[in-house]
Amino acid sequence: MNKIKKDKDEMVSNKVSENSSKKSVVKQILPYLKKEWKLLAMALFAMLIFSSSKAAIPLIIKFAIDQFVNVPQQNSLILISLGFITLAIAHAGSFYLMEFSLLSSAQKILYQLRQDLFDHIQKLPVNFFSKNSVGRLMSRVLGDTDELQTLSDISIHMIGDIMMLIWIIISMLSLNVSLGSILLLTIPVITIYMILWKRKATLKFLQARSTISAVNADLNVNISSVRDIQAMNRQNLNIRAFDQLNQDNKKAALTAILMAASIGPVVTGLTGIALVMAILLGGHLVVTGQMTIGTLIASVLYIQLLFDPIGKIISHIAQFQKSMASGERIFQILNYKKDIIYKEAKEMPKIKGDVTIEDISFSYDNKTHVLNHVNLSIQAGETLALVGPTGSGKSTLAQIIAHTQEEGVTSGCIKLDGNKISEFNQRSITKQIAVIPQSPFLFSGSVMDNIKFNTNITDEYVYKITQYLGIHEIIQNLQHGYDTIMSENGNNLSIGQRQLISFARALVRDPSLIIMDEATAHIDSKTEIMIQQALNKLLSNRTSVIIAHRLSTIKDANQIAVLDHGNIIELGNHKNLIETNGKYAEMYQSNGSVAA
Amino acid sequence: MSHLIRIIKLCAKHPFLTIFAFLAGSFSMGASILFPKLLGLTIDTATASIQIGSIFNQGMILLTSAIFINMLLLGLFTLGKSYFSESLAENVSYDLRKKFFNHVINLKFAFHDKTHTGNLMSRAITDMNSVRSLISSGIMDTPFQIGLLIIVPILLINSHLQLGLLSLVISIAIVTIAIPLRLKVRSLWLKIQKNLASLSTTLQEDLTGITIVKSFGAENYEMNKFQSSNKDIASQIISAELIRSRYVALKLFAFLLLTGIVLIAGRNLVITEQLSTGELAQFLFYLVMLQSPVIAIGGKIAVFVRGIEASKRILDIIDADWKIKEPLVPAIIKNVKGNIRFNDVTFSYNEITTLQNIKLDIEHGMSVGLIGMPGSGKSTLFKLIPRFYDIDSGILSLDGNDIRTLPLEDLRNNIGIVPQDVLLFPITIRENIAYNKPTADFNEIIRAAKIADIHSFIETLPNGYDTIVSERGANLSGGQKQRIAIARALITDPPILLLDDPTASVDFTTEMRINKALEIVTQDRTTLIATNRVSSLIKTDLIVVMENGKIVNKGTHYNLLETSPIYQELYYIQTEQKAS
Repeated sequence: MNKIKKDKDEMVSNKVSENSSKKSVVKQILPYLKKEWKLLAMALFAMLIFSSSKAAIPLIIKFAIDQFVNVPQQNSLILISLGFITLAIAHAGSFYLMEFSLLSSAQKILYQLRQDLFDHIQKLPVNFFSKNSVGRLMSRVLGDTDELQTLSDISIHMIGDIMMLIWIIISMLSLNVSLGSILLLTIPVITIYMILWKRKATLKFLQARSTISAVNADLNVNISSVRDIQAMNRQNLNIRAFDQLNQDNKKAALTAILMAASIGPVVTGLTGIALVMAILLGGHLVVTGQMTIGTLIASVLYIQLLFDPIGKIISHIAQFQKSMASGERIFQILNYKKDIIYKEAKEMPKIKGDVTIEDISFSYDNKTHVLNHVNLSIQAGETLALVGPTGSGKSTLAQIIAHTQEEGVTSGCIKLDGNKISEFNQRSITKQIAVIPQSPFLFSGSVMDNIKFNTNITDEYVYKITQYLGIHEIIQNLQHGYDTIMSENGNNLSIGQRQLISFARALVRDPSLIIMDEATAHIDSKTEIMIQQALNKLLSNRTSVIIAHRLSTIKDANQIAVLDHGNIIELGNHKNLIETNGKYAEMYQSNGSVAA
Repeated sequence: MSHLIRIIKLCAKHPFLTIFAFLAGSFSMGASILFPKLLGLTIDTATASIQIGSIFNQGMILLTSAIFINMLLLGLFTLGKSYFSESLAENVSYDLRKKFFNHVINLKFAFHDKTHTGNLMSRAITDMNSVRSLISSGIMDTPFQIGLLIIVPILLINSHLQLGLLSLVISIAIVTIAIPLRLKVRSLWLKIQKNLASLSTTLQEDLTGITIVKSFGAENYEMNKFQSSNKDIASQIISAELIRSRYVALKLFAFLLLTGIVLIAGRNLVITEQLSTGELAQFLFYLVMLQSPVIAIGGKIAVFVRGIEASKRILDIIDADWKIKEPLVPAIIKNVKGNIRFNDVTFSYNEITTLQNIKLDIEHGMSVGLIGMPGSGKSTLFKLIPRFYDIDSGILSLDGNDIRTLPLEDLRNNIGIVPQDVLLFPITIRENIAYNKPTADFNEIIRAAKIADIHSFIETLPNGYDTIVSERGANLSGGQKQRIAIARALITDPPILLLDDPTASVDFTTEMRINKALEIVTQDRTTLIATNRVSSLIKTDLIVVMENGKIVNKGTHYNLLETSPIYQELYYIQTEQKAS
């Protein structure tokens, strides 16, 4: 599966074409269906037997009544018994086989779609995530895949229902042409009515759904901000506003309920008409000897089977459209090109820590440049600080050095120990670099899990590192020590504690290069001192790149680069830059050593 | 069981819908039971008409009209049944949702501290849906399915004892097999839901922490985590659904075979004239009818189990007696000045004493700073004044009145609060500022914004005051949100203002701006500021240093620099950082 997509990625351009049509959805879902072709073929086969056997039930009853029950002299007992046993086995067996193969194939397709989508999304360029919210991507991976997976199921049921309809029509006509053709006149009537009804009903259902979403959204806002609402005495006003939404929803829901129920009487009414016609006309044919009583009974049974497949076919069409829409959304993401850092390449050897930034330019859209021909070099063991206002390009530069982003680099390269990183395997590089983000993100799981994150180290090694950092005791004093489970987003720990854990997480990898986005979030002074101490240990003897917010923390950096609009406007150490009395000196003085 | 009874009582509050739903259901069941009988009679009359030579005799006309009318009535009653029972379910869920909202929004902080939003939302959405189907598909439909399961076999036994008994035995056998299977399916679905939750957690974390994942090269690690739940879900769904398919297949097999047996055995009865062809056909039609309750009953069990659990979860919230007690005979306060007095106040939270013997006198118009480490109790002290939490002992008074004797609404109306974690609503900035006082006119709003030093910023926005705040205020910076919150607190011009760490998580420049705004804001009102930044407190009238839930020092900035070791240390650390 991955191979197929990889080929495609190289061909499809990054810009998603607006008119990605249904055709392409079908074309792209085909490989998934092909992979499960055996199960799908089995499902189709079973479906054909199932619908045929269902349509055959009235026929065998007719046969039994006409050839056996009402004919005392003939004895086809064995034939009839065999007939029923065969039909029962075929009908029940094909049903189970059909369910089994449809379910298995659908779940396998769903599994694969989710897996591919997850894998693909992870490897998209960093700026993709700033444009697409987490909630939206989640509904692609969880919701839309579920809708798309029904495509195979609907298609096979559709074939089955059409098959069934054809069988019923053929059987009714073959039982008696004139009676059959009159009864079949009801088909166009019910079909047209159902289509019109469906169109109107869909609208009402949509209204009901959108009013309930409004109710739930309002409820969510009110519950999550309940403290503020109580603090501001807004309860009564909000209760009234909620009641309005709640009432709107009730109204819309009742209309939708009536709409849904209203199709019933039409179907039964029409069935009634068909029955009356069948009985009178059929009865006339029976009385005049042109038809048997068994045929009459079979016709009555067929009338009851007739409308079911029509209704199903119409709702399959609606579901088909929904699946297609989901498919378009999924393949839009799958067609989005992965970042080029994910490619097959050789392993990067163990690095010492010399970093060369050679003529790096970067642009998201090929028009405006975030970085303009940036040149810098860092000796192993030295610290480079990046300083500059928001949007100056310092974070982008750090991401390029960390090799988490290569898509968008328009010129130049990063060299580690003289080796161009773009020529090496991404994992072999990221393994040797530790990135410490501004706000420490922890995953659910224990503190231990978070420190070990994606490594095979032992508990003892973790203790060694935390002791070295001087944070072993802090972790041990947490509610369950190293086994403390992170609540959502690590909210049960303070920001300072989370930051210390993220230091440990970085250090256990023994990185040759550390890239750090210095935290600005306010933490109490004692923790701050602790963090500073741990940080000094973390950075000693390692090459580091620090995005600095508080200028006081980077005074000892070997080099400080001041960035502005993607250009390095000043470069030097603290002393030089203060003496130069330029932008850096201005920033340092104007805000008491704190920069934005 | 008691929860089921309460749901039934809630249904009874809509007597017309309940009665009509039951009447329509009974008539619809009656019409459907009558139908095979009419068909059987018709077939016999048609056979008898062969002797007469014409089908168009009085008996036939009468019967066919009866069939037609029966079908029409069946259609109408079925519509009535589903409309009335679904409407009933909708009305009850409207009532429940209203109660739920009205209750939850007034529950005290201690409740909300314990209960996550997600937890309450899942009760309001998922559990509400289960209750709805408990009503429409459980309570309002099950009696009729059981009715069919009893009446149809009785009719069959009536027309032929052995064959009728056989049908009854087979039906009961399938239902008995179905019920435990259905419960097994349910337990499987609970597992599936757990896996789905962990799948979605992995996904959400991976997306939220994507930069970490990328920079640690952990794509495959995450992929494996995702894969394990993804795989389990697929196989569990297959096994859960297949259990159901298995007994549906069993039903199909058994009833088709039963039809064969009835036809073969029926032949002898027809030949010996114990049974007419019409009666035999009628028997077959009844067999067709019997299949639907046989399958449905298993499903009903699941509807009831799930629905009762869900109604318990909803009713538990509605029953929760977690409200701040209003005084029985409230004292009347007018023109609050803002004298606040803590007289030996002790407060514990989760059975841990967080404030101990607090004694503090605040004269109206004073500005007071509370400083201390996180966990020292300064934010907690704050939350006692608007009665977000009630004290254990001592007296907390406003202008000489114990706050527990004041009407809660009046008390809170006199207090403006700027919380630490500012939350703006997804409405316009103008509505956000006027959130406390929706009747405020535009000039008042601008005035508050000007005092909070946010007016000029708002003016630079393309839509000005009509700019919609995006979810959680994502389109505003921390400092901007903070100042909007200050404007919002000022809109009622409250005599008391509480600011909880107003400069947390903003950078230094913004901190300076906020501090400047606060200088104006605090004029002419009692102000309390909790913080751990010394720089925010230099200009206050009184600084209270707290540690471990106790007041350790009180005084002005210059006093404390000499007398309070804690204050000295804080001051030293914070200025050292800046100076170095």
